[in-house]
Amino acid sequence: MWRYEKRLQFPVNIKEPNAKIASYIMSQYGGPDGEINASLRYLSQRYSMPYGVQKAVLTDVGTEELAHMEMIAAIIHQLTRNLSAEELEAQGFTPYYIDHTAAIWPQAAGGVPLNACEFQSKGDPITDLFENLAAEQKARTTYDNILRVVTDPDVIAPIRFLREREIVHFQRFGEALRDLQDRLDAKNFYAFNPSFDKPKCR
Amino acid sequence: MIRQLSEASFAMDDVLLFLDTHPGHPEAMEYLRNMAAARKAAIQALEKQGGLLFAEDQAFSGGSWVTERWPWEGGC
Repeated sequence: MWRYEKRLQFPVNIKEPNAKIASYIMSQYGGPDGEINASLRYLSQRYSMPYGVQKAVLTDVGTEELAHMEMIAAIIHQLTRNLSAEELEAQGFTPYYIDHTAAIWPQAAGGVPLNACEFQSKGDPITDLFENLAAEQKARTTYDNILRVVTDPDVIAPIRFLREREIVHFQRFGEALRDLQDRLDAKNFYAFNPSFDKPKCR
Repeated sequence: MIRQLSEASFAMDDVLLFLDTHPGHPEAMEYLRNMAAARKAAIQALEKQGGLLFAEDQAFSGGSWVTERWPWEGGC
């Protein structure tokens, strides 16, 4: 289960509102490769994992992604608070404001709402771990894209932190994949699905 | 103090992930013990000043959970 710890994993203190940048960073909240989808992906996959190492990594990384989801929400909140409708309009934020005012809602920068079709929980541990390696790279690329268009150091600091965490997670998933492969038949990793099949030579 | 909590907690989070794929790794376990101790000390110091990190700590500490400012609002 989860407890809430009343602090952010990394501080977010933004002095200058900027709804335009907020609308871009929104993709890391509700976008296809954002923190919510990352968390749901890993927390969903862990139930069908056959061995402890993978269950642990998916649980712990999935939980950390919730903390990142919170940081992204904090960034968007601080970039859009205390602005008038006119200021939001001038900063290109009106379509979102019409439906959500200055609230936080999971959608991508382009307006596509969060969607479970954007991640997989496939029930085969090799498949799922490769999905996760790709997911961390997609998230890293998204942060790279964000960093090209942000100039405010108050925003850059937490975004850089989150980008580095994606790289570390990628490393951990690589290790989890190697650990899994070590437990399978080295001559044929695909002989059976350890999440589902009973091994045939039993 | 908040800084120490932040740094010790993050170091702990990171080594915990490492320990998931390297269970029982001796240096990592030593690092974990150090970071966890630093975190614990920081939490105790902070809660003595009235800032609660966990709702349940209302049981031991005089601080209040239902504060006006929450972490996503920033500032100190």
